[in-house]
Amino acid sequence: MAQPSGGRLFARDNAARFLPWVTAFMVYLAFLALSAVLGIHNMVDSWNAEISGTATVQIPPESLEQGVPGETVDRVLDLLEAQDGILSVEVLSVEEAAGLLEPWLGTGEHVLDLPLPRLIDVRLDPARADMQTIARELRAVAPQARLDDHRVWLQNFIDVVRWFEIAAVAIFAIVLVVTILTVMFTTRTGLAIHRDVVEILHLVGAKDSYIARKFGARALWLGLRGGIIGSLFAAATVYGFSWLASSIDAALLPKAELSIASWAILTATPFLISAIAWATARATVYTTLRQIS
Amino acid sequence: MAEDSSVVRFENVGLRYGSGPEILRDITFRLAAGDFRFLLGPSGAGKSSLLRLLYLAVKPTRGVVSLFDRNVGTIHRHEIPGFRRRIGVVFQDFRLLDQLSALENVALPLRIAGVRDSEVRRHVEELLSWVGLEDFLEATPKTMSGGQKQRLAIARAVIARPKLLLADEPTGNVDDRIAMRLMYLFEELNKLGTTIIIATHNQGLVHRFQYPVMRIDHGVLQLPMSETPPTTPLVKERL
Repeated sequence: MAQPSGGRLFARDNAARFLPWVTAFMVYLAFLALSAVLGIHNMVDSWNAEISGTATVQIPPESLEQGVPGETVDRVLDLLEAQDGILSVEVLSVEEAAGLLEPWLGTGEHVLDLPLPRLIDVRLDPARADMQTIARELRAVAPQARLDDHRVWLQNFIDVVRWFEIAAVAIFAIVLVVTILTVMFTTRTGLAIHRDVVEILHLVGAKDSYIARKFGARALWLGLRGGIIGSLFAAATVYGFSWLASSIDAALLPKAELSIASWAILTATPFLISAIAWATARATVYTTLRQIS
Repeated sequence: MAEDSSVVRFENVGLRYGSGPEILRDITFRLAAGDFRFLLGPSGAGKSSLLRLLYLAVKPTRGVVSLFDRNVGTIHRHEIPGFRRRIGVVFQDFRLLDQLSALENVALPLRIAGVRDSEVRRHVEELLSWVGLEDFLEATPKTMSGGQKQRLAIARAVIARPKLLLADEPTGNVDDRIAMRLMYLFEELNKLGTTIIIATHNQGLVHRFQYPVMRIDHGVLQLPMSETPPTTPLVKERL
């Protein structure tokens, strides 16, 4: 004979009836907010890994025309190779530079006739390379050459992304607060509706902890049911967005993919919300019973 | 019985609800383990209020109520469940849980006390059989008659073998045959040392079983002739 569950002991009331749906909606929002944070985080990480170890030196065509092109490039190469923290340098051919412009200008001989800058791809060790010194010395040997430090650009991008992350975390926090308040409300209402049951339990010797366990189990079950429904809908939404993103041909846009670890965290969302519902229900029962006794 | 080892001890107890009139006045009596009393009195005399004091639903507004040698005025809230597990109560309105089966209703005190599942079922079935409800194990109280509910309420009150049993009109809704059977059940418990107080209007029952009677009228308790109230300092002063 099984112990009477919270659901049977405290038969469903209207307040508890809508708890799974509220939880489902909250988990849906939390799941999306969390997946946005994790996706953006992964994206920034992969960009950071890709970009922070590289820089580009751009020698504009007008400076090449003024002197002997090969000499300017050689001077720049000599300078770069002499710097501490530079791992390798590679001069891009005109054809390679034209290839980079292909998405905008297309292919053909006419592209090669355009005054294209000479590009030097630099691989560096970000910890050792002093970009300010390199830029200063570069100006001395090739005044019109430009050093593109990708880290500066990346930092600006990270600053913007950080605000998206803060917004997503704020949404997640709001979801948690709303969940807690909803469970508090339904538990207090449940205690008021089932006051006679609570009184009988007390009269036959039940401690507050017994009643708290029943309400906690009820909140856990209802929260889990709603949470799983919400997370299934949210996973479908995230998958839909991923599919849409993959169908857009955007070579320069980074991919905000979710790693296995991210999916593991997202899968834990309904369980986290249910655990919060369980703890909130228990705490509310203890507080309310102490107040009314 | 030693002077200070009583199950119930009332000394000059008074009770009023809010700012209303005093419902109980100067109640003084003592019951030891194994005592059996009928509590008689007209409706509104204060029987239910006296029982409410005994199962710790209210605290006295004056005087001292002691249960199991503890002054209830000094009992902390978290200690009350421990006391109530030693007290069985049969309520006049039964106070059964309609959403649970007869079996689960009776099992509730055992479950709350943490008794093992296998033991719970055996004890509950045995007791329900004793009160004639063996065919109603899975029935809910909503589907049962007044008499059946009353027997169910009695079974729940006695299942955990309480040290003190309080019954408010426990035979009010049953026929004489069942009433006798229930009284024998109370007697069996009493022989095991349970102190029993039965509030009733049933004079036939009182005559038949010949246990001492406590009468209450207008909030004042009259003890059986054989019992002398304990002489507390306040009583001495009044005398």
